[in-house]
Amino acid sequence: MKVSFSQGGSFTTIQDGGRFGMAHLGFPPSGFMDVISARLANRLVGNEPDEALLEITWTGVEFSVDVACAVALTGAQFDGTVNGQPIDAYGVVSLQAGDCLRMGPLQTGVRAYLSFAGGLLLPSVGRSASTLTLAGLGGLHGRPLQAGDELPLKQPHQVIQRAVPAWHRWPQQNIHVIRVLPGPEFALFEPGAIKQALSQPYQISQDSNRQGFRLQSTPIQGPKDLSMISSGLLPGTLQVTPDGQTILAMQDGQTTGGYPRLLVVKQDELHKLAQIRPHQDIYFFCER
Amino acid sequence: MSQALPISSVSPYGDQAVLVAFEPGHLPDIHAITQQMINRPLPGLDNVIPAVDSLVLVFDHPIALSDSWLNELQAELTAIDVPPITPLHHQLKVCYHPDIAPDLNPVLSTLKLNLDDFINQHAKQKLAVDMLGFLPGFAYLSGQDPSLNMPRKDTPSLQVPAGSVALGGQHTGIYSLSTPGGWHVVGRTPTPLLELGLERPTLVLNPMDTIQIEPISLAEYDSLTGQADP
Repeated sequence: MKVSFSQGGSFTTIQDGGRFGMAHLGFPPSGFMDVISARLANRLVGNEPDEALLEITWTGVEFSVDVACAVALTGAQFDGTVNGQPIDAYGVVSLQAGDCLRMGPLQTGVRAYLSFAGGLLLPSVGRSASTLTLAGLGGLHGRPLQAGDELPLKQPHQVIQRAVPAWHRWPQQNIHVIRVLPGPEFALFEPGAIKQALSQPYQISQDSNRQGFRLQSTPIQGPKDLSMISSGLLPGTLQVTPDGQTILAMQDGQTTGGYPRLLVVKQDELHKLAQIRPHQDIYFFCER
Repeated sequence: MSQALPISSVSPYGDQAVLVAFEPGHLPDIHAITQQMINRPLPGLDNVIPAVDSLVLVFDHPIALSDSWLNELQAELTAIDVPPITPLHHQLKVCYHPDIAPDLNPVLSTLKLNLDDFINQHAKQKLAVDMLGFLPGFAYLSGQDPSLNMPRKDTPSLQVPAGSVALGGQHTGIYSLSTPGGWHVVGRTPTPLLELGLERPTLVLNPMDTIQIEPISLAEYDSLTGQADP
């Protein structure tokens, strides 16, 4: 009862709801980047919402199963085939023993989620199976999946065929508005800098990963004569570096940071950032 | 006996966390509160992130960040009866050798010290673990002689091996796991510092622990790591 991968994709990791209660030891929360899509994938096959699944970034995977089982695909949309026949690769896909599912190029979004009915049999670190590639821990040997990898299935089974409703599909859009709140150092910035930060567009640079997104924008003037002592850092925090550029911390972000924290994304908006592509515009709307 | 905690402010950090700021010089209290919070968490508390003069409490749900809620939390924190944590003292073997410490020679030339003087100066210091943070098990040590301060590297290294002892700013840092890092690696300890557990990892170095470095030769380092990995 296993999944065998013939293509691992460019960056596919095992993630679950996250690793909590260990930030004081330096462990970031990790876990799903797009929590809404990931939980949907689990619900479609009847798993617990935070069950470990695959987070597939930019390029798809190809795998076969040696047992009949259902899988679900959500998040970024791909073309998919089973044994070479095109399928609706968004929602539940029923597989028979020996079937090979192949995901084609990504069409919208950045991260797709692939859940297996009954879940994957995985070791855990700190009560979580999430992969933290930076520290080489969790998931499968602490690294992204690669061709030749095999993952054992816990309790494979079939489920009722269900598609993702149209309203739940990630829309094609090039402008994103993300709701934020003032960060801890917000008041130390000049009013002009704050006004600029909340009115200009940002773009996610190529230099972006699960640890954080480097954003591109007109540089923001940081607080003058600031001497900060490192302090706790949460996913969704927009930090301004000395050169006026910004870094948005994400799920694998470092637990403490020393740059001024200008804005904090509302936690129920974090999932949206996981699907925004480079060259799309992000605006931050501050609710206070 | 409970005593008033030196909290200077409690303020929201986004919609699911609060930042508790402390008056300077109360690191032991911050770590004691952290331990208390980990052992007896508030409802929905996901994470506690201690730092040198602050504590971030992260919740799994949006919290009503009203003044009354913040006052309540402040009252609760202040009322906590915190038993002091009992730090350990570690005698830590460290090998200072360019073969396993790639930044040692550049650091020696920046600091204008020869190897023996550097080892002598670095190893004689009374170091203490201020906090763990940045990445899993990374220990920030205080007590460094300012003459050994080094600015961060311009370009971080992609992989710094576990056990590396490094200089960054006014701190010495120790990497418990192999991770990327931007500090200057000047030595390495053969002692395994972190054991990943199913439930919770066990770390050798914990906040407030004190460290005395015992310099060892490369031959001794090799024999110790050889024994650890037969």
